[in-house]
Amino acid sequence: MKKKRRKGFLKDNLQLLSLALPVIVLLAVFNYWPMFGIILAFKDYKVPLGIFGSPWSGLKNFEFFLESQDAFRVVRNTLLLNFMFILAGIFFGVLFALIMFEVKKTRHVKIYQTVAILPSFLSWVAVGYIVYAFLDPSKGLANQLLALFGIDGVSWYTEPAYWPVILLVVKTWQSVGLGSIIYYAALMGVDAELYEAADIDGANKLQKILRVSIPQIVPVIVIMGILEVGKIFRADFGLFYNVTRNVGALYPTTDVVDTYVFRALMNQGNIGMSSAVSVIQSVVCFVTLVVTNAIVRKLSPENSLF
Amino acid sequence: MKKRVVAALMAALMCIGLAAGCGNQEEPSTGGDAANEEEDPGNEETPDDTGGDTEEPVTVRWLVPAVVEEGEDHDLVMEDLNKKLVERINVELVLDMIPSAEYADKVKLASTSNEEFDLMFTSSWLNPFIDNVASEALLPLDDLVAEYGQEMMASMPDWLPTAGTVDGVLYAIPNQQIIAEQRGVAVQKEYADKYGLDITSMEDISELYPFLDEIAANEPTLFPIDPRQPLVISQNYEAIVGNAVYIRRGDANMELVSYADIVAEQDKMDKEWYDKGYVREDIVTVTDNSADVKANRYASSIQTYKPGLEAELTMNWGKEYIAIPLEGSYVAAGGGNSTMTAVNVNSKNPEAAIQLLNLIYTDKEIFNELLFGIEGTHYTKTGDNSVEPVENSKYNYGGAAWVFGNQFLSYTLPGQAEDVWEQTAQLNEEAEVSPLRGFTFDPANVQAEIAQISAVVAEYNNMQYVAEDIEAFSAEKAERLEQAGIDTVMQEVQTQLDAWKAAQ
Amino acid sequence: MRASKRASKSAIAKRKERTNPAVHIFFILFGLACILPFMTVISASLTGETDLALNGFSILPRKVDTSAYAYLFRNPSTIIDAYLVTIFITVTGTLLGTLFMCMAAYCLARGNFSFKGLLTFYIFFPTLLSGGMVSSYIINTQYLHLTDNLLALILPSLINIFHVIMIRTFFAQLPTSLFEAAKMDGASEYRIFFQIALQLSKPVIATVAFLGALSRWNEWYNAMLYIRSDELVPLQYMLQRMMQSIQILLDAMQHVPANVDITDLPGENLRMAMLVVSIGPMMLFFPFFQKYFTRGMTVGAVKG
Repeated sequence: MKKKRRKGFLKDNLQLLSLALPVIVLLAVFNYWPMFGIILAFKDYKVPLGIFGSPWSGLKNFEFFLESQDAFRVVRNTLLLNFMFILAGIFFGVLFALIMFEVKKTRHVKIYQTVAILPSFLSWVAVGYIVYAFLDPSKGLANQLLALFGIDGVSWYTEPAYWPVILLVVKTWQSVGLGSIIYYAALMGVDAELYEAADIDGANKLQKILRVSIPQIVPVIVIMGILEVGKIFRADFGLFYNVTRNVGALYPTTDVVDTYVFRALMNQGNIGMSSAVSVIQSVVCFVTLVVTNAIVRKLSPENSLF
Repeated sequence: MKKRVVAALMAALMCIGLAAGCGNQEEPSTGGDAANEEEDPGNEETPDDTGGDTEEPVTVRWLVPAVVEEGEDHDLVMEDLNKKLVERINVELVLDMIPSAEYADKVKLASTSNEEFDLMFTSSWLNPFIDNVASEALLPLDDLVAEYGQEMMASMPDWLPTAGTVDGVLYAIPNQQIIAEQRGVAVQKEYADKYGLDITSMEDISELYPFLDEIAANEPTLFPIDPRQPLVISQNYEAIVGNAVYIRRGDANMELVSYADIVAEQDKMDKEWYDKGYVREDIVTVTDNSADVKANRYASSIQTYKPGLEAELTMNWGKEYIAIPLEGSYVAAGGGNSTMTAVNVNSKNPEAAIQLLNLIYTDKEIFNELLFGIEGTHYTKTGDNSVEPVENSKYNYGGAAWVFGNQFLSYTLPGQAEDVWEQTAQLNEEAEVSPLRGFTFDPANVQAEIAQISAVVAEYNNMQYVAEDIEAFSAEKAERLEQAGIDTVMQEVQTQLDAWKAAQ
Repeated sequence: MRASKRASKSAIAKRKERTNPAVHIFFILFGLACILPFMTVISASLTGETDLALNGFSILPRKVDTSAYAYLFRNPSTIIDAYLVTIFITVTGTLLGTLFMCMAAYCLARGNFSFKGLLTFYIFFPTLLSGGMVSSYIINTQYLHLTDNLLALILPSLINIFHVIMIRTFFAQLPTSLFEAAKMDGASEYRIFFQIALQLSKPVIATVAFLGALSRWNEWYNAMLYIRSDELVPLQYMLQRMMQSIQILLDAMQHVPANVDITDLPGENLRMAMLVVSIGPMMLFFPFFQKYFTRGMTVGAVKG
């Protein structure tokens, strides 16, 4: 009996490993193998010497970023804005999915979903134009609306204070339709009997949402949160560059790592310096992710990533 | 069911096979880097004999940014051109037109991954020359041009090659075109006539103000001027490190001036223009004004002046323009470095590459075929030295002449004066030449500072127009520049400059 | 008891058919916020370039001008080729990628798999550390010889690690009792994967497949790096190439005193037309994935 079990155990593991094999191989080739490129961040790259032959340069490539007077501002903006996006993405994504779940006719769901993902198809460049059509100080819709209420127009593109909110609204509008699909998929997996049981207990709609729907999709919410935190130090360049129209006056609240590096290095083709920033981003993401995962593991071990 | 599993396993096996396949090939390339370098001296004899009937033609691959769209008949023209090239120097050209936005990255990747190519476009602004020199991506050319490029070198003014020279070593061949810098203003003729603007040259831009006032007051659909270049700076100063270290134009003492100091002057003028309504109100949020330029919404614009500018603008923008030069033409130390051609350090055929470049640089027939294609098919001759492309020509790189070599050999197009190149050459010859000519700054020690300065300058870009208190604005910018390390860069320039002066 | 339950069930069913009007209102308002900007883009694509420069964007075109589309379709065969390439990449990549990702996710979700922790780490680690473009380029061109090969557009992006983790989370929520029961019946892991895990997770698989298809449809960067022949260029890259040249030409005007011709630059109307042309077909795909967003595929159904 025991022997048979062990044999089954071995067989299971082999079968499972074979299932994972394509991913293992693909990652090895396309993700692990290129990792040697990281050493470029520590090299003074010379073409004839190649990546490995070039002389080491210590941390010289990191200096321009770490010693920059803007480093603090850029780091703060990147972390805060992304943190805000993560929270909003989850909150509105779940909310949107819950409301969508209340739509009973499949035909309606299909129409609403299709319409809601429309903005996700727009490139950031196009979104930038649309936002500008709205916020343009002279012809923009926003100031015309304000004028209706007798409020003076705002010169949006020179007032950094408004921009965290504007970016949040734009980002949410653009991504909530697509982002909610995963939560909607999770809701569809909830055992219908749980709702029936709640009905029998006489639960109202809100109670059902709070006691059945949400607890059932918590694992998905948590894992989405962890995955997003793993990207917290990488900003969506298209959003920050196109939607703000790259106006310098807005940098105090909108300048992020990716836009800063673009600006600083656009006139130099320095491989080492750009690699260095990428390494810094990796390190920060790694640390935040490990910390987040550790917290989650403490609170509910079954939901943590590893 | 079983079938599916089998399919999945097959796919997995495919991947393994693939991975194994790649592992095997790892060997040959790793040693390659060092070997290439050694090859050069030994090779020198081979392409020497230009008869070359017995030998296989040498292929030269040339990377250029496609500033005009690649023609449908590209291959056809190359085939015809290559017949001539093989006959003349036994070389076949592969002209790789890379979409210009990808150009810099692709050249970098090609050289990092040891791809085979021989010639490349390099410049101060695209595929940066100085960085290429710093990463040793360019082959030193002195010996090669002495042997294979004498005619080419002889055809240019003495001071021109210094643009491609670093520490006395020639790394790139500057293309010949307009090099002397002279500012000017292009004005729509319709409005110049309407408001009685009739000056043929200006000493100072303020002579244009009455006209701009008229436009601002009477033409609500137009923007009076497109301030495309910082006039105060570009008229009076010459950059050693852009946005950081300058000297006064022609200053024989070569006294360094900080950008922080001169930009205040510029900002003040910009602000004044903005307040007077010369500059469009929304300039801060305009990222790309090409649509407005094409729609002729600017009554005037600041331009780099050159012979034939009027005709060019009129042709390109579909309305009549007049060009008014601002006095004083100047050849800066870097003049000519905005369009150059260099040889890849890993090139297998550097001799053939220089031979080819030499031919293109000096042979009218070859150069014009490269530009305009085949006579009769792609263009018709309208004079000895002038052509007209056929309608919807499937090959017309005329607009890219400045990428390829010696523009002075180019046939003229309708609208261009017959002697436009003589005029241009004359302007180049007569211009005042910078005392710094021959000095090239090596930024290796201050890369970090330069990056930070770039970031600060970009942050304040165009903000001077809307600044409430321009003095405070300039002071703040100066302070940020100082923090970014502009003084360190100044010192580094001073050190290198002193060493250069001592060596003269 | 049973009867009463059934009765209540049908009562619920009846009640369920009606959607709260507030929900409808919400989606109609949100829908407008999505559709109006979208119409603005379409309208801009149907407006003349000069008109757009003078008057800006509007929800409906002031005067219809199809020149942008005429320009895009001046060579219909190239654009059709590009569509075919894109469709091929999207379909192949999505099918293979989704299958592989599900297979790996299943292993990560199985309690009886001994290397679960190790494999999770192995799979997740690359999201934190990437070697960068240069080294990938060297490997793909020098060692794998993927230059000018459609595999270069399929293989490197086959696995989206985030999606693997997402699928894993869904698999992990399936009741283990189902797997145990199947094991008792002597089912192999392959069988459990295909017949139970996959069947019960259609919504998430459809979601991941759609997200994957979307990003493949929009992919142009790898095409830029690896594709040389015109007939292998996917749609997005073709459009990207037309669009990108603007910035460089503007730079060139700053730096090169020679003639820089901007008359051929695509105007904003053309950029918007490109957007419409590229996303149109993807919109049509979406309902196909939506088919799997149906209730009843759930655990309850199997148990009952």
